[in-house]
This record gives sequence, C-alpha cells and structure tokens, in this order.
Amino acid sequence: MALLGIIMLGVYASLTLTLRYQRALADSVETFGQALLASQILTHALGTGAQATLVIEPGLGFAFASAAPPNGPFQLDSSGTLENQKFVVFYLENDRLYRGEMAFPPAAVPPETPPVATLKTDTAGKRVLVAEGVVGMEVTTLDTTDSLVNLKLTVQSKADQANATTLETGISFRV
Amino acid sequence: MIAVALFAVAVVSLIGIYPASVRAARQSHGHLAAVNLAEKELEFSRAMNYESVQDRAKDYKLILKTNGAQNEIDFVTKVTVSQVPSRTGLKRVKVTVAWVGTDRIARELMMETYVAKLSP
Repeated sequence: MALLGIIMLGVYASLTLTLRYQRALADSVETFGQALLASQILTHALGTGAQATLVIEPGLGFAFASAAPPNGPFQLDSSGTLENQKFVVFYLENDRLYRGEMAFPPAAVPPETPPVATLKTDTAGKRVLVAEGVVGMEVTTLDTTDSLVNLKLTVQSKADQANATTLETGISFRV
Repeated sequence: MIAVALFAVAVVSLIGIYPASVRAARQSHGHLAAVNLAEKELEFSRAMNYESVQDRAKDYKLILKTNGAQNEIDFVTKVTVSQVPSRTGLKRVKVTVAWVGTDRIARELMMETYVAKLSP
C-alpha cells in the first residue's frame, strides 16, 4: 500500500511539473511573439533612419532622425542624399514599448535630435503601442562604419513573472 | 501483491512519457521560433524594392526563461536570392534558419517565396 502511495505521488508530481512546464512554454510563445513583433517594427524604423542622429538613453529609450516621408517616395536633397523628415522615438513606459514621431520644425538646417524625454513628452498624444510586457530594452552601437546597432529586448509574461523571452539581434541603419 | 506490482510497472512506464512530452514541447517551441523568423525574413523580402532583394544573413539570440530556468538558442537566418532562369523579373528567395536546440541537436528549416518586378 505504501509502495502504491509513493508511486501515485510520483505520478502526481510528474504531471504537475509537466503541466507547469507546458504553461511556461505557452507563455514563452506569447512573449517571443511580442519580442519578434517589436524587433520587426524596430528593424523597419531603423532602416529608414540615420545612425549619425541616434540618441540612446539607457533605461528610457532611443531616438533618431528618419527619412520616411508621410506619404510618397523618399526625398533626396540637392546633394543626392536622403532627406530626413522627422524624429522617431522608441521608449518604455509601464512595461510597454511605444513609438512616437515628431515632424522637423521648419528650418534650413536639420536640427539635432532632442533628448528622448523631450520627444516622449511631445509625442505622447500620437504615440503607438508597439509591444506589451517589455521589461528591458538595450540598444548599443556596434560598429559605426557598418551602421549596425545591437538590440536586446526582454518581454515578460503577464501571467507568470518567472517566464520571459529575451531576443537579441543586430539591426542596420539605412545611412 | 501481484496486482500492485503490475500496476507499479504500468505506472512507472507511464511516468517516462512526461519527460518525453516536455522534450517534444521544447523542440516544437524552437521550431515555432524558427518558422516565425523565416516568415519575418520572407515578409521583409516581399516588402523590399525588387533590386534591393539580395543575399543577407542575420543572427538572433533567444534567451528563454521558463519557471526561472534559463535556456539559450542561437538562430542564424540566411536569405539566398537567385534569378529564375526562365522568367525575367522574377527572383527566388530562399530563407534557411539554422539553430542548435536545447537538446544539442542541430536543426535547419527552409522556406521560400518568389518576388516579382512589377511595372507601376
């Protein structure tokens, strides 16, 4: 009888652990989806940006000048280089990753990228939610000649904080 | 006593199924991630200007934290572009995703699509 009890306890423990692990994997599918979606949006956005204008504020976010026009084809200036149209900012707030845009003020010379905090305040009204559960975002410049930055995104499960997915990849600027 | 022994043998063999199911779930998760990465590359190729669709490669490091335990999987995506010989203005885009799973077995997944040059 005691043997039977031990066996049943073993079965119960195995079943519980398996179910817990399956739940964790289901969580990771969701968190991976969010991380991949965010990285895709970031890849697209940085692909229209200029690395020379990149401003990184660790723990808060980053901003850069983008050549993506509101509509129509990309514009070239008189020297044949892409003309930047706006500032794009990505920032974290309450475990959410937001994207904001601010048009260049009318000026002959394109302005320098403002601090992330300024852009965050200015674009709060027209920000777009990129991903939820983002508890960490690290952007580091790898190689200036290659216009490459390293992106590390950590998305935590809403259901269980012990489950999270970190996606690390390199993203290239257009110029 | 014989009945208990038989039951014990049956149950112990059943217990072996659980780790196998966990391994299978882990493998399928790696596969799912690879499919998503491949699809992402295909979508990117489709959205690109025809001339810009060229060979490229990208690395992804995936760190999965499940119930506090951490696993790392490195994915390498390679996009190979070739001109379809019999059709002008048509490119074949092949995406290969290679990774080594948590079970240390090297795996590879391949997906492909075609990109056409459209006149506006």
